[in-house]
Amino acid sequence: MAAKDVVYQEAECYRFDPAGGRPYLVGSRCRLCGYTAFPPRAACPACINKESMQEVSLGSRGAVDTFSVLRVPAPGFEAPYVVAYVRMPAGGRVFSLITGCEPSEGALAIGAEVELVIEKIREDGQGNEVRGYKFRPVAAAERGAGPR
Amino acid sequence: MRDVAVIGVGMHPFGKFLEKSLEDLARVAVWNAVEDSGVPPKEIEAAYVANSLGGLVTGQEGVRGQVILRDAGFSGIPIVNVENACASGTTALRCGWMEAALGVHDVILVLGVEKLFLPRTEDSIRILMADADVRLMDMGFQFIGWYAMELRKYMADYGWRKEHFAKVVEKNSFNGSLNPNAQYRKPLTAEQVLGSRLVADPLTLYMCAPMSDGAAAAVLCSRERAGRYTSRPLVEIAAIGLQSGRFADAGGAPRPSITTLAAKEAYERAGLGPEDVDVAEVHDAVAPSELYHYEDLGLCGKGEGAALIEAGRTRITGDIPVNTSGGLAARGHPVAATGLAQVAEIVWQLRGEAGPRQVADPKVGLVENTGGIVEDEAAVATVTLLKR
Ligand SMILES: [Zn+2]
Repeated sequence: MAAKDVVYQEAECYRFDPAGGRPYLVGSRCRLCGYTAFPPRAACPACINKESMQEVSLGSRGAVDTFSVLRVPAPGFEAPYVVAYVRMPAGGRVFSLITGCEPSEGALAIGAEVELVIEKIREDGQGNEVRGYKFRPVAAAERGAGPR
Repeated sequence: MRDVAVIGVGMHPFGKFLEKSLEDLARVAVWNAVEDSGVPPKEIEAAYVANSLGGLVTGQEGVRGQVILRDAGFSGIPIVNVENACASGTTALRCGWMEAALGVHDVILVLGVEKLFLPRTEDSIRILMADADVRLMDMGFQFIGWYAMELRKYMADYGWRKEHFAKVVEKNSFNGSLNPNAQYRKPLTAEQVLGSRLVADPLTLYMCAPMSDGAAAAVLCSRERAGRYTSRPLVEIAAIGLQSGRFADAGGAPRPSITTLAAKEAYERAGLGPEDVDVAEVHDAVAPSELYHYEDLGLCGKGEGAALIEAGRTRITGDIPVNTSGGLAARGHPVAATGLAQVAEIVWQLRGEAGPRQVADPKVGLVENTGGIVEDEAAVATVTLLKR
C-alpha cells in the first residue's frame, strides 16, 4: 500500500512565526479604510478597491464568539466534534474546528480564549491526511500570557 | 412599472418520492398552477425555472428548465434557468415580477423544483452541502451547526431557551398536520421535540427541516390582463426585496442581517410596514430560527421572538400568524421549491382558501426566503409582500 501523503488546506491563511515556530492567522487590511478581511482578500469589500489590500497578521489567539457540538458530521468528518466562530482581536470572524475540548456543551463557553494550532483536520477521499488551521482552548494557567 | 398579480399557484406535495424525477414533480406543480390561474396554456408567454442542485443529482447542467418544461408540454417560449440556493424559488418569482412589471410579457410561469432523495443518503447529504461555501465544508462546516451557533448567541444575549425552540416546532408541526402538501403531518409535543436526538447542540432532530423532494409553481399576470382569466380575489405582488451577504465582518460592529435589509427594501417599495402584515411564511430551515426572523422582519423588537412564541401570538389563531403551512420543518424543504410553496400558502390565505389553516381575513401577507451560507451569513435573502 502506498504511503499516505500530507496535504495542507487553506495554507494561505496562516504562517509560522520565524522565531518560535508558533502559527498565526493571516488576513488582509485595507490601507485606505482600515477594513480587515479574513481569509485574505485581493480587493476590499468595504470600500470596493482592488489596489488597497495588504497582508496583515491576525495573531494567534481569539475569543469564541459562538459554538456548537456537531452530532451529525460534515462529509469526511467524524462526529461528535466542536465547531466555533472565533473573533480575532485584530479583525475577522473565523469558522474553525475546536480541538483539545470535550465534545459536550459545557466544555466550552462564549468568550473563551482559544489559540491557533495547525493539525490534522480530516482525511481526503484518497486517504491523505489533510492539515489546516483550528483552535484549542487556552489552558487556564496560560491565559493572559504570550503574544497576541 | 405595472402592477403584477399572482393569479395561479400549485404544488406537488413535498416528501420522499424515490421513484419520481424532477420532471414528474414539476409537471404536477406546473399544471396545478396553470389550471388554478385560468390561463389557457398557450397563452403562457415566458417561464423562469428555479432549481438548485439538480445538476449534481442528474448530471444535467445548464438547460434543466428547458428539459423539465418540455416534459410538462411547455416549449417555444423564453425559458430562463434561475439558481440562488434555497432562495432560488423567490428569486425566480422576482425575475418574473420584474419582466411583467416592465411590460415585456403579461403572463409568466414561475417554477421551483428540487429532487434530493437518492438511494444512498450520503449522496443526498453531499449534494445538499454544496449550497454552502465549499471552503467551509472542507473545514467541518454543516448547516444545522450554523443555525445552532446563531441561536446560541440569542440564548446568551436574550435568555432564549430550548423550551422556546420546542414550542416553535409544536406550533409548526400542528400547522403541518393540517396541510395536505406537507411532508410531515404528525403534531409533535414539546417533550417529543426535546427528546429527539441532538443534531448540533442545542438543536434536536425534530427542530430541523428534513430532506425533501417537491415542486411549487405560480402564474403571474399583469393586473390589467388578469381579469381576462380569473374572477378570484386578486393577489398582487406589492414588492420583492432581495439582498446578498456582504461577507465583510466590520470588526465586531453589529450589522443588520440581510433579511432585515431585504425586508426594509420590500416595505419601502410597497409603502407598507410590519404592522400591516396579517400572515407570514418565514424560512425556518431549523424551526427555532423563526424566532429571529420575527425580529428581522420587524414583527417584534430585538430579542423579543421568544416572548412572541410563548404568548402564542404566531399561531394560526394569534394576531401575527407565522408559518401556517407548517414551515420548512413540517412542510418540507426541497430547496428551490420552498420559496414558491411559501408564496402558494400566502396566496391561499389571502384568497380565503387555506381551509383548516385559514387565518381571519388577511389583507397583506409576507414571504421570507433565505439561501446558502458564505463565510458567516446567509448568501441571499428575499422578502416578498403580497396584498389582496
Ligand atoms: Zn477599504
